[in-house]
Amino acid sequence: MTFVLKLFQNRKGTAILTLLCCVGSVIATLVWNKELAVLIDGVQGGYGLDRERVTWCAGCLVLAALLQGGMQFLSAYAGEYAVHDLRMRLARVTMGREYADLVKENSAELISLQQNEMEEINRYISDNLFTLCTTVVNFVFTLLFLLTQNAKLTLLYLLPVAGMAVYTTLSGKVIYRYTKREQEQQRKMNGVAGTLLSLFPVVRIYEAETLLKESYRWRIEGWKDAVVTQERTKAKLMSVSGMLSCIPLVLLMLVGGRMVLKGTLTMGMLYVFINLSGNVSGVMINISVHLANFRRFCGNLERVWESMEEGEREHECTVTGD
Amino acid sequence: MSVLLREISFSYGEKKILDKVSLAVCEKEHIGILGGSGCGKSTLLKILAGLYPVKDGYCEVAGACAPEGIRKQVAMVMQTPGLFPLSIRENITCGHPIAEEKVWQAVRAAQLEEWVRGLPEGLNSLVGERGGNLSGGQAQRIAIARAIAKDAPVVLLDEPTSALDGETAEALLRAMDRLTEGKTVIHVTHREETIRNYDRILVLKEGTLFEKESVSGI
Repeated sequence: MTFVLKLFQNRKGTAILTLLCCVGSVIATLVWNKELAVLIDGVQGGYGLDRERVTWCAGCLVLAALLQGGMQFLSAYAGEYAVHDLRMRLARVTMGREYADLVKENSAELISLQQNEMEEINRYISDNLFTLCTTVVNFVFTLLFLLTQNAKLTLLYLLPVAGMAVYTTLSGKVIYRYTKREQEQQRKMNGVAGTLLSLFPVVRIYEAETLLKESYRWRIEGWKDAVVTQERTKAKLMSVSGMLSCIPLVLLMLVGGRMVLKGTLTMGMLYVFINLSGNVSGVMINISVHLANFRRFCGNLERVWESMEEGEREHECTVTGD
Repeated sequence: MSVLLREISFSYGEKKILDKVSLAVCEKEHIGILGGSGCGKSTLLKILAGLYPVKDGYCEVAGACAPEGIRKQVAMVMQTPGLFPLSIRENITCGHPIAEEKVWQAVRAAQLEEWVRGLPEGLNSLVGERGGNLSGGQAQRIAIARAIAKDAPVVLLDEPTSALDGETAEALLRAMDRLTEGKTVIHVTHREETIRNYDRILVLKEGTLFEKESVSGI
Protein backbone atom coordinates (compact mmCIF):
# COMPACT_ATOMS: atom_id res chain seq x y z
CA MET A 1 0.00 0.00 0.00
CA THR A 2 2.92 2.31 0.79
CA PHE A 3 4.11 1.99 -2.82
CA VAL A 4 0.65 2.80 -4.17
CA LEU A 5 0.66 6.01 -2.12
CA LYS A 6 4.20 6.77 -3.33
CA LEU A 7 3.06 6.20 -6.91
CA PHE A 8 0.46 8.96 -6.62
CA GLN A 9 2.64 11.31 -4.58
CA ASN A 10 3.16 13.66 -7.52
CA ARG A 11 -0.50 13.44 -8.55
CA LYS A 12 -2.05 13.85 -5.11
CA GLY A 13 -4.54 16.53 -6.18
CA THR A 14 -5.94 14.53 -9.08
CA ALA A 15 -6.11 11.33 -7.03
CA ILE A 16 -8.00 13.06 -4.18
CA LEU A 17 -10.35 14.76 -6.64
CA THR A 18 -11.02 11.37 -8.26
CA LEU A 19 -11.91 9.87 -4.88
CA LEU A 20 -14.17 12.83 -4.05
CA CYS A 21 -15.98 12.40 -7.39
CA CYS A 22 -16.37 8.71 -6.62
CA VAL A 23 -17.83 9.34 -3.15
CA GLY A 24 -20.10 12.07 -4.53
CA SER A 25 -21.35 9.80 -7.29
CA VAL A 26 -22.14 6.99 -4.84
CA ILE A 27 -23.95 9.33 -2.46
CA ALA A 28 -26.00 10.82 -5.31
CA THR A 29 -26.95 7.29 -6.44
CA LEU A 30 -28.03 6.34 -2.91
CA VAL A 31 -30.11 9.50 -2.54
CA TRP A 32 -31.76 8.73 -5.89
CA ASN A 33 -32.54 5.20 -4.68
CA LYS A 34 -34.03 6.50 -1.45
CA GLU A 35 -36.21 8.88 -3.44
CA LEU A 36 -37.13 6.06 -5.81
CA ALA A 37 -38.46 4.07 -2.86
CA VAL A 38 -40.66 7.02 -1.89
CA LEU A 39 -41.86 7.38 -5.50
CA ILE A 40 -42.76 3.66 -5.73
CA ASP A 41 -44.55 3.80 -2.37
CA GLY A 42 -46.42 6.90 -3.56
CA VAL A 43 -47.58 5.22 -6.76
CA GLN A 44 -48.51 2.06 -4.85
CA GLY A 45 -50.45 4.08 -2.31
CA GLY A 46 -52.34 5.83 -5.11
CA TYR A 47 -50.92 9.30 -4.43
CA GLY A 48 -49.36 9.62 -7.90
CA LEU A 49 -46.07 11.37 -8.68
CA ASP A 50 -44.93 14.52 -6.96
CA ARG A 51 -43.52 17.00 -9.53
CA GLU A 52 -40.89 18.42 -7.17
CA ARG A 53 -39.73 14.99 -6.13
CA VAL A 54 -39.41 13.82 -9.73
CA THR A 55 -37.32 16.91 -10.52
CA TRP A 56 -35.16 16.25 -7.47
CA CYS A 57 -34.71 12.60 -8.58
CA ALA A 58 -33.72 13.67 -12.09
CA GLY A 59 -31.25 16.15 -10.56
CA CYS A 60 -29.71 13.38 -8.45
CA LEU A 61 -29.39 11.15 -11.51
CA VAL A 62 -27.75 13.88 -13.58
CA LEU A 63 -25.39 14.72 -10.72
CA ALA A 64 -24.46 11.03 -10.29
CA ALA A 65 -23.80 10.70 -14.03
CA LEU A 66 -21.68 13.87 -14.11
CA LEU A 67 -19.64 12.80 -11.10
CA GLN A 68 -19.25 9.33 -12.60
CA GLY A 69 -18.01 10.84 -15.86
CA GLY A 70 -15.66 13.18 -13.99
CA MET A 71 -14.30 10.26 -12.01
CA GLN A 72 -13.68 8.25 -15.19
CA PHE A 73 -11.82 11.15 -16.77
CA LEU A 74 -9.77 12.00 -13.70
CA SER A 75 -8.92 8.38 -12.93
CA ALA A 76 -7.69 7.83 -16.49
CA TYR A 77 -5.68 11.07 -16.27
CA ALA A 78 -4.17 10.28 -12.85
CA GLY A 79 -3.47 6.65 -13.79
CA GLU A 80 -1.82 7.51 -17.10
CA TYR A 81 0.38 10.17 -15.51
CA ALA A 82 1.36 7.90 -12.63
CA VAL A 83 2.41 5.16 -15.07
CA HIS A 84 4.19 7.72 -17.24
CA ASP A 85 6.20 8.97 -14.23
CA LEU A 86 7.09 5.40 -13.34
CA ARG A 87 8.10 4.50 -16.90
CA MET A 88 10.24 7.60 -17.30
CA ARG A 89 11.96 6.91 -13.99
CA LEU A 90 12.72 3.34 -15.08
CA ALA A 91 14.11 4.64 -18.37
CA ARG A 92 16.33 7.16 -16.52
CA VAL A 93 17.66 4.43 -14.21
CA THR A 94 18.39 2.12 -17.15
CA MET A 95 20.11 4.86 -19.16
CA GLY A 96 22.18 5.84 -16.12
CA ARG A 97 23.79 2.42 -15.82
CA GLU A 98 27.19 1.44 -17.15
CA TYR A 99 27.17 -0.50 -20.43
CA ALA A 100 29.45 -3.18 -18.96
CA ASP A 101 27.02 -3.75 -16.07
CA LEU A 102 24.11 -4.02 -18.47
CA VAL A 103 25.90 -6.71 -20.48
CA LYS A 104 27.15 -8.56 -17.40
CA GLU A 105 23.74 -8.82 -15.74
CA ASN A 106 21.92 -9.96 -18.87
CA SER A 107 19.96 -6.74 -18.76
CA ALA A 108 17.94 -7.41 -21.90
CA GLU A 109 16.04 -10.13 -20.05
CA LEU A 110 15.82 -8.04 -16.90
CA ILE A 111 14.47 -5.02 -18.76
CA SER A 112 12.03 -7.22 -20.65
CA LEU A 113 10.83 -8.63 -17.31
CA GLN A 114 10.46 -5.14 -15.87
CA GLN A 115 8.58 -4.02 -19.00
CA ASN A 116 6.15 -6.89 -18.53
CA GLU A 117 5.63 -5.95 -14.89
CA MET A 118 5.22 -2.34 -15.93
CA GLU A 119 2.62 -3.38 -18.49
CA GLU A 120 0.71 -5.24 -15.78
CA ILE A 121 0.91 -2.22 -13.48
CA ASN A 122 -0.33 -0.01 -16.33
CA ARG A 123 -3.20 -2.37 -17.10
CA TYR A 124 -4.18 -2.65 -13.45
CA ILE A 125 -4.11 1.10 -12.87
CA SER A 126 -6.09 1.80 -16.05
CA ASP A 127 -8.66 -0.97 -15.67
CA ASN A 128 -8.81 -1.95 -12.02
CA LEU A 129 -7.36 0.41 -9.46
CA PHE A 130 -9.97 3.15 -9.56
CA THR A 131 -12.69 0.60 -10.32
CA LEU A 132 -11.63 -1.11 -7.10
CA CYS A 133 -11.79 2.22 -5.26
CA THR A 134 -15.32 2.77 -6.60
CA THR A 135 -16.28 -0.77 -5.59
CA VAL A 136 -14.98 -0.26 -2.05
CA VAL A 137 -16.65 3.15 -1.67
CA ASN A 138 -19.85 1.73 -3.13
CA PHE A 139 -19.70 -1.23 -0.76
CA VAL A 140 -19.12 0.83 2.39
CA PHE A 141 -21.71 3.50 1.65
CA THR A 142 -24.36 1.07 0.39
CA LEU A 143 -23.88 -1.22 3.40
CA LEU A 144 -24.26 1.72 5.77
CA PHE A 145 -27.30 2.92 3.83
CA LEU A 146 -28.98 -0.51 3.91
CA LEU A 147 -28.19 -0.94 7.62
CA THR A 148 -29.79 2.41 8.42
CA GLN A 149 -32.86 1.52 6.37
CA ASN A 150 -33.41 -1.99 7.74
CA ALA A 151 -30.62 -3.59 9.75
CA LYS A 152 -32.45 -6.91 10.27
CA LEU A 153 -33.04 -7.55 6.57
CA THR A 154 -29.51 -6.44 5.67
CA LEU A 155 -27.85 -8.80 8.13
CA LEU A 156 -30.16 -11.69 7.27
CA TYR A 157 -29.49 -11.57 3.57
CA LEU A 158 -25.77 -11.02 4.05
CA LEU A 159 -25.33 -13.95 6.45
CA PRO A 160 -24.92 -16.68 3.79
CA VAL A 161 -22.64 -14.38 1.78
CA ALA A 162 -19.87 -14.90 4.36
CA GLY A 163 -19.95 -18.65 3.67
CA MET A 164 -19.92 -18.01 -0.05
CA ALA A 165 -16.91 -15.74 0.30
CA VAL A 166 -15.04 -18.62 1.98
CA TYR A 167 -16.10 -20.95 -0.86
CA THR A 168 -14.94 -18.43 -3.49
CA THR A 169 -11.60 -18.02 -1.71
CA LEU A 170 -11.00 -21.76 -1.54
CA SER A 171 -12.16 -22.44 -5.09
CA GLY A 172 -10.01 -19.50 -6.26
CA LYS A 173 -6.98 -21.16 -4.69
CA VAL A 174 -7.75 -24.47 -6.42
CA ILE A 175 -8.21 -22.72 -9.78
CA TYR A 176 -4.99 -20.76 -9.24
CA ARG A 177 -3.07 -24.01 -8.61
CA TYR A 178 -4.37 -25.51 -11.87
CA THR A 179 -3.68 -22.29 -13.75
CA LYS A 180 -0.09 -22.31 -12.51
CA ARG A 181 0.27 -25.92 -13.64
CA GLU A 182 -1.15 -25.05 -17.05
CA GLN A 183 1.20 -22.09 -17.42
CA GLU A 184 4.17 -24.26 -16.45
CA GLN A 185 3.23 -26.84 -19.09
CA GLN A 186 2.83 -24.11 -21.68
CA ARG A 187 6.23 -22.67 -20.76
CA LYS A 188 7.82 -26.11 -21.22
CA MET A 189 6.11 -26.54 -24.57
CA ASN A 190 7.29 -23.12 -25.73
CA GLY A 191 10.77 -23.98 -24.46
CA VAL A 192 10.99 -26.97 -26.81
CA ALA A 193 9.60 -24.90 -29.70
CA GLY A 194 12.17 -22.20 -29.00
CA THR A 195 14.90 -24.84 -28.95
CA LEU A 196 14.06 -25.78 -32.53
CA LEU A 197 15.08 -22.30 -33.64
CA SER A 198 17.96 -21.52 -31.29
CA LEU A 199 19.63 -24.93 -31.57
CA PHE A 200 18.97 -25.45 -35.26
CA PRO A 201 22.64 -26.30 -36.13
CA VAL A 202 22.85 -28.87 -33.31
CA VAL A 203 19.53 -30.38 -34.40
CA ARG A 204 20.78 -30.76 -37.98
CA ILE A 205 24.26 -32.13 -37.19
CA TYR A 206 23.06 -34.63 -34.61
CA GLU A 207 19.85 -35.45 -36.49
CA ALA A 208 17.77 -34.69 -33.43
CA GLU A 209 14.61 -33.76 -35.37
CA THR A 210 12.74 -36.89 -34.29
CA LEU A 211 13.75 -36.43 -30.65
CA LEU A 212 12.52 -32.85 -30.60
CA LYS A 213 9.36 -33.67 -32.52
CA GLU A 214 8.55 -36.42 -30.02
CA SER A 215 9.43 -34.17 -27.13
CA TYR A 216 7.24 -31.39 -28.54
CA ARG A 217 4.34 -33.80 -29.08
CA TRP A 218 4.73 -35.03 -25.53
CA ARG A 219 4.78 -31.46 -24.18
CA ILE A 220 1.68 -30.58 -26.21
CA GLU A 221 -0.06 -33.59 -24.68
CA GLY A 222 1.02 -32.43 -21.22
CA TRP A 223 -0.25 -28.93 -21.88
CA LYS A 224 -3.51 -30.24 -23.35
CA ASP A 225 -4.13 -32.37 -20.25
CA ALA A 226 -3.35 -29.42 -18.00
CA VAL A 227 -5.74 -27.14 -19.92
CA VAL A 228 -8.53 -29.73 -19.89
CA THR A 229 -8.14 -30.34 -16.14
CA GLN A 230 -8.00 -26.61 -15.46
CA GLU A 231 -11.08 -25.80 -17.53
CA ARG A 232 -13.03 -28.76 -16.14
CA THR A 233 -12.24 -27.79 -12.54
CA LYS A 234 -13.02 -24.16 -13.26
CA ALA A 235 -16.36 -25.07 -14.84
CA LYS A 236 -17.35 -27.25 -11.86
CA LEU A 237 -16.35 -24.74 -9.21
CA MET A 238 -17.72 -21.71 -11.04
CA SER A 239 -21.09 -23.30 -11.75
CA VAL A 240 -21.55 -24.07 -8.05
CA SER A 241 -20.47 -20.50 -7.30
CA GLY A 242 -23.02 -19.21 -9.82
CA MET A 243 -25.79 -21.20 -8.16
CA LEU A 244 -24.78 -20.04 -4.69
CA SER A 245 -24.76 -16.41 -5.76
CA CYS A 246 -28.56 -16.56 -6.13
CA ILE A 247 -29.03 -17.34 -2.43
CA PRO A 248 -28.81 -13.71 -1.15
CA LEU A 249 -31.41 -12.58 -3.68
CA VAL A 250 -33.71 -15.49 -2.84
CA LEU A 251 -33.34 -14.69 0.86
CA LEU A 252 -34.03 -11.04 0.17
CA MET A 253 -37.19 -11.94 -1.70
CA LEU A 254 -38.36 -14.38 0.99
CA VAL A 255 -37.56 -12.33 4.10
CA GLY A 256 -38.17 -8.96 2.50
CA GLY A 257 -41.44 -10.14 0.91
CA ARG A 258 -42.59 -11.43 4.28
CA MET A 259 -41.73 -8.07 5.87
CA VAL A 260 -43.72 -6.28 3.16
CA LEU A 261 -46.68 -8.56 3.82
CA LYS A 262 -46.38 -7.87 7.54
CA GLY A 263 -46.13 -4.15 6.86
CA THR A 264 -42.70 -3.68 8.47
CA LEU A 265 -41.10 -2.80 5.12
CA THR A 266 -42.46 -0.80 2.22
CA MET A 267 -42.56 -2.16 -1.33
CA GLY A 268 -40.39 0.73 -2.50
CA MET A 269 -37.68 -0.08 0.04
CA LEU A 270 -37.75 -3.79 -0.90
CA TYR A 271 -37.18 -2.75 -4.50
CA VAL A 272 -34.24 -0.57 -3.42
CA PHE A 273 -32.79 -3.47 -1.40
CA ILE A 274 -33.01 -5.73 -4.44
CA ASN A 275 -31.55 -2.98 -6.60
CA LEU A 276 -28.56 -2.37 -4.35
CA SER A 277 -27.98 -5.88 -3.01
CA GLY A 278 -25.33 -6.65 -5.64
CA ASN A 279 -23.18 -3.71 -4.51
CA VAL A 280 -22.65 -5.43 -1.16
CA SER A 281 -22.99 -9.18 -1.73
CA GLY A 282 -21.08 -9.11 -5.04
CA VAL A 283 -18.09 -7.44 -3.41
CA MET A 284 -18.15 -9.83 -0.45
CA ILE A 285 -18.32 -12.90 -2.68
CA ASN A 286 -15.47 -11.75 -4.89
CA ILE A 287 -13.36 -10.22 -2.15
CA SER A 288 -10.62 -12.85 -2.58
CA VAL A 289 -10.34 -12.12 -6.32
CA HIS A 290 -10.11 -8.37 -5.68
CA LEU A 291 -7.52 -8.87 -2.95
CA ALA A 292 -5.44 -11.30 -5.05
CA ASN A 293 -5.37 -8.85 -7.98
CA PHE A 294 -4.48 -5.98 -5.70
CA ARG A 295 -1.72 -7.98 -4.00
CA ARG A 296 -0.31 -8.94 -7.40
CA PHE A 297 -0.34 -5.31 -8.47
CA CYS A 298 1.37 -4.25 -5.22
CA GLY A 299 3.97 -7.01 -5.69
CA ASN A 300 4.78 -5.87 -9.24
CA LEU A 301 4.92 -2.26 -8.16
CA GLU A 302 7.15 -3.05 -5.20
CA ARG A 303 9.63 -5.00 -7.36
CA VAL A 304 9.84 -2.30 -10.03
CA TRP A 305 10.07 0.45 -7.39
CA GLU A 306 12.82 -1.26 -5.40
CA SER A 307 14.90 -2.07 -8.48
CA MET A 308 14.61 1.58 -9.55
CA GLU A 309 15.65 2.82 -6.10
CA GLU A 310 18.59 0.38 -6.15
CA GLY A 311 19.59 1.62 -9.62
CA GLU A 312 19.38 5.24 -8.47
CA ARG A 313 21.52 4.50 -5.41
CA GLU A 314 24.15 2.75 -7.57
CA HIS A 315 24.14 5.66 -10.01
CA GLU A 316 24.61 8.12 -7.14
CA CYS A 317 27.57 6.08 -5.82
CA THR A 318 29.16 6.04 -9.30
CA VAL A 319 28.72 9.79 -9.72
CA THR A 320 30.06 10.65 -6.26
CA GLY A 321 32.77 7.99 -6.53
CA ASP A 322 31.84 6.22 -3.25
CA MET B 1 41.77 -36.91 -48.10
CA SER B 2 39.41 -36.63 -45.17
CA VAL B 3 38.39 -33.04 -45.89
CA LEU B 4 38.74 -31.26 -49.19
CA LEU B 5 37.75 -27.69 -49.91
CA ARG B 6 38.39 -26.27 -53.36
CA GLU B 7 37.97 -22.54 -54.07
CA ILE B 8 35.09 -22.03 -51.69
CA SER B 9 33.57 -18.55 -51.66
CA PHE B 10 30.81 -17.38 -49.35
CA SER B 11 29.02 -14.08 -48.80
CA TYR B 12 26.40 -12.72 -46.43
CA GLY B 13 24.51 -10.54 -48.90
CA GLU B 14 27.04 -8.11 -50.33
CA LYS B 15 29.69 -8.89 -47.71
CA LYS B 16 32.21 -11.44 -48.87
CA ILE B 17 33.35 -13.66 -45.99
CA LEU B 18 35.34 -16.40 -47.73
CA ASP B 19 37.20 -15.82 -50.97
CA LYS B 20 38.27 -18.94 -52.90
CA VAL B 21 39.36 -20.86 -49.81
CA SER B 22 41.07 -24.20 -50.47
CA LEU B 23 42.02 -26.76 -47.88
CA ALA B 24 43.07 -30.39 -47.86
CA VAL B 25 43.15 -32.32 -44.61
CA CYS B 26 44.46 -35.85 -44.34
CA GLU B 27 42.76 -38.54 -42.32
CA LYS B 28 43.38 -38.19 -38.54
CA GLU B 29 45.19 -34.91 -39.10
CA HIS B 30 44.58 -32.16 -36.51
CA ILE B 31 44.25 -28.70 -38.02
CA GLY B 32 43.98 -25.46 -36.07
CA ILE B 33 42.61 -22.35 -37.74
CA LEU B 34 43.38 -19.00 -36.13
CA GLY B 35 41.62 -15.76 -36.82
CA GLY B 36 40.10 -12.68 -35.24
CA SER B 37 36.44 -12.04 -34.54
CA GLY B 38 34.27 -11.87 -37.65
CA CYS B 39 36.95 -13.19 -40.02
CA GLY B 40 34.74 -16.09 -41.14
CA LYS B 41 36.05 -18.95 -38.97
CA SER B 42 32.61 -20.06 -37.84
CA THR B 43 31.23 -19.69 -41.38
CA LEU B 44 33.97 -21.96 -42.71
CA LEU B 45 33.18 -24.52 -40.01
CA LYS B 46 29.46 -24.37 -40.81
CA ILE B 47 30.22 -25.10 -44.46
CA LEU B 48 32.37 -28.03 -43.34
CA ALA B 49 29.49 -29.22 -41.14
CA GLY B 50 27.04 -29.15 -44.05
CA LEU B 51 24.97 -26.41 -42.45
CA TYR B 52 25.50 -23.92 -45.29
CA PRO B 53 25.12 -25.00 -48.91
CA VAL B 54 28.15 -24.53 -51.13
CA LYS B 55 27.38 -22.37 -54.17
CA ASP B 56 30.89 -21.46 -55.30
CA GLY B 57 33.53 -24.17 -55.05
CA TYR B 58 33.67 -27.79 -53.98
CA CYS B 59 33.41 -29.34 -50.52
CA GLU B 60 33.98 -32.95 -49.62
CA VAL B 61 33.99 -34.35 -46.08
CA ALA B 62 34.85 -38.03 -45.50
CA GLY B 63 33.75 -38.85 -49.03
CA ALA B 64 30.43 -36.98 -48.83
CA CYS B 65 29.61 -33.91 -50.93
CA ALA B 66 25.90 -33.25 -50.31
CA PRO B 67 25.07 -31.34 -47.07
CA GLU B 68 22.94 -34.25 -45.74
CA GLY B 69 25.82 -36.66 -46.30
CA ILE B 70 28.39 -34.30 -44.81
CA ARG B 71 26.32 -33.85 -41.65
CA LYS B 72 26.45 -37.61 -41.05
CA GLN B 73 30.27 -37.52 -41.15
CA VAL B 74 30.88 -34.76 -38.63
CA ALA B 75 30.51 -34.12 -34.91
CA MET B 76 30.69 -30.54 -33.74
CA VAL B 77 31.24 -28.73 -30.44
CA MET B 78 30.39 -25.06 -30.50
CA GLN B 79 31.03 -22.00 -28.34
CA THR B 80 27.74 -22.52 -26.52
CA PRO B 81 26.87 -26.10 -25.56
CA GLY B 82 23.47 -26.02 -27.29
CA LEU B 83 21.66 -28.36 -24.93
CA PHE B 84 18.04 -29.42 -25.31
CA PRO B 85 15.72 -28.90 -22.30
CA LEU B 86 15.63 -32.68 -21.85
CA SER B 87 17.59 -35.30 -19.90
CA ILE B 88 21.38 -35.80 -19.99
CA ARG B 89 20.81 -39.11 -21.79
CA GLU B 90 18.65 -37.51 -24.49
CA ASN B 91 21.21 -34.75 -24.95
CA ILE B 92 23.91 -37.34 -25.53
CA THR B 93 22.00 -39.80 -27.71
CA CYS B 94 19.86 -37.15 -29.46
CA GLY B 95 17.12 -39.77 -29.60
CA HIS B 96 19.19 -42.37 -31.49
CA PRO B 97 19.26 -45.97 -30.24
CA ILE B 98 22.72 -45.90 -28.67
CA ALA B 99 23.64 -48.75 -26.32
CA GLU B 100 23.78 -47.93 -22.60
CA GLU B 101 27.45 -48.95 -22.40
CA LYS B 102 28.35 -46.62 -25.25
CA VAL B 103 26.56 -43.75 -23.54
CA TRP B 104 28.53 -44.38 -20.36
CA GLN B 105 31.74 -44.59 -22.37
CA ALA B 106 31.02 -41.12 -23.76
CA VAL B 107 30.18 -39.84 -20.28
CA ARG B 108 33.43 -41.30 -18.93
CA ALA B 109 35.49 -39.87 -21.80
CA ALA B 110 34.00 -36.42 -21.22
CA GLN B 111 34.98 -36.74 -17.53
CA LEU B 112 31.37 -36.58 -16.39
CA GLU B 113 30.97 -40.02 -14.82
CA GLU B 114 31.53 -39.10 -11.19
CA TRP B 115 29.14 -36.16 -11.40
CA VAL B 116 26.42 -38.07 -13.28
CA ARG B 117 26.59 -41.03 -10.85
CA GLY B 118 26.15 -38.56 -8.00
CA LEU B 119 22.90 -37.21 -9.43
CA PRO B 120 19.71 -38.72 -7.95
CA GLU B 121 18.35 -39.53 -11.39
CA GLY B 122 21.70 -40.11 -13.08
CA LEU B 123 21.52 -39.92 -16.87
CA ASN B 124 17.81 -39.18 -16.65
CA SER B 125 18.38 -35.89 -14.82
CA LEU B 126 17.01 -32.88 -16.68
CA VAL B 127 19.51 -30.26 -17.78
CA GLY B 128 16.99 -27.39 -17.62
CA GLU B 129 16.32 -24.83 -20.30
CA ARG B 130 19.54 -24.16 -22.24
CA GLY B 131 21.42 -26.15 -19.61
CA GLY B 132 20.22 -23.77 -16.91
CA ASN B 133 20.66 -26.37 -14.14
CA LEU B 134 24.36 -26.89 -14.98
CA SER B 135 27.62 -24.99 -14.77
CA GLY B 136 29.26 -23.84 -18.03
CA GLY B 137 31.88 -26.61 -17.79
CA GLN B 138 29.32 -29.36 -17.13
CA ALA B 139 27.14 -28.21 -20.01
CA GLN B 140 30.08 -28.11 -22.41
CA ARG B 141 31.17 -31.59 -21.26
CA ILE B 142 27.73 -32.94 -22.14
CA ALA B 143 28.19 -31.40 -25.60
CA ILE B 144 31.54 -33.21 -25.83
CA ALA B 145 29.96 -36.48 -24.70
CA ARG B 146 27.35 -36.03 -27.41
CA ALA B 147 30.08 -35.57 -30.02
CA ILE B 148 31.94 -38.65 -28.70
CA ALA B 149 28.77 -40.74 -28.80
CA LYS B 150 28.20 -39.82 -32.45
CA ASP B 151 31.60 -41.32 -33.27
CA ALA B 152 31.94 -39.41 -36.54
CA PRO B 153 35.24 -39.51 -38.47
CA VAL B 154 35.56 -35.69 -38.56
CA VAL B 155 35.38 -33.50 -35.45
CA LEU B 156 34.75 -29.76 -35.78
CA LEU B 157 35.49 -27.51 -32.82
CA ASP B 158 34.29 -23.90 -32.79
CA GLU B 159 36.02 -22.24 -29.82
CA PRO B 160 34.47 -24.65 -27.33
CA THR B 161 36.34 -23.15 -24.37
CA SER B 162 35.83 -19.46 -25.16
CA ALA B 163 32.99 -18.98 -22.67
CA LEU B 164 34.80 -20.73 -19.81
CA ASP B 165 37.31 -19.53 -17.22
CA GLY B 166 40.97 -20.61 -17.47
CA GLU B 167 40.84 -23.60 -15.10
CA THR B 168 37.59 -25.01 -16.50
CA ALA B 169 38.86 -24.49 -20.05
CA GLU B 170 42.05 -26.45 -19.26
CA ALA B 171 40.04 -29.35 -17.83
CA LEU B 172 37.75 -29.28 -20.84
CA LEU B 173 40.63 -29.44 -23.28
CA ARG B 174 41.82 -32.60 -21.49
CA ALA B 175 38.32 -34.05 -21.84
CA MET B 176 38.41 -33.24 -25.54
CA ASP B 177 41.53 -35.34 -26.06
CA ARG B 178 39.34 -38.44 -25.98
CA LEU B 179 36.97 -36.92 -28.49
CA THR B 180 39.68 -36.05 -30.98
CA GLU B 181 41.74 -39.26 -30.57
CA GLY B 182 42.10 -40.97 -33.96
CA LYS B 183 39.83 -38.46 -35.72
CA THR B 184 40.29 -35.74 -38.25
CA VAL B 185 40.00 -32.50 -36.31
CA ILE B 186 39.43 -28.93 -37.44
CA HIS B 187 39.51 -26.50 -34.53
CA VAL B 188 38.85 -22.82 -35.12
CA THR B 189 39.87 -20.40 -32.40
CA HIS B 190 41.42 -17.02 -31.71
CA ARG B 191 43.53 -18.44 -28.86
CA GLU B 192 46.80 -19.93 -30.00
CA GLU B 193 47.46 -21.97 -26.85
CA THR B 194 44.45 -24.24 -27.42
CA ILE B 195 45.88 -25.56 -30.73
CA ARG B 196 49.60 -25.50 -29.92
CA ASN B 197 50.09 -29.28 -30.34
CA TYR B 198 48.17 -29.58 -33.59
CA ASP B 199 49.74 -30.96 -36.78
CA ARG B 200 49.17 -27.81 -38.75
CA ILE B 201 48.10 -24.28 -37.93
CA LEU B 202 46.45 -22.04 -40.50
CA VAL B 203 45.38 -18.44 -40.35
CA LEU B 204 42.16 -17.11 -41.81
CA LYS B 205 42.52 -13.48 -42.78
CA GLU B 206 40.43 -11.34 -45.12
CA GLY B 207 38.58 -14.41 -46.35
CA THR B 208 41.72 -16.34 -47.27
CA LEU B 209 43.55 -19.22 -45.56
CA PHE B 210 47.32 -19.06 -45.03
CA GLU B 211 49.73 -21.71 -43.76
CA LYS B 212 51.40 -20.46 -40.62
CA GLU B 213 54.81 -21.66 -39.46
CA SER B 214 54.91 -19.43 -36.45
CA VAL B 215 51.73 -17.94 -35.09
CA SER B 216 53.33 -15.40 -32.81
CA GLY B 217 51.93 -11.96 -33.28
CA ILE B 218 48.44 -13.12 -34.22
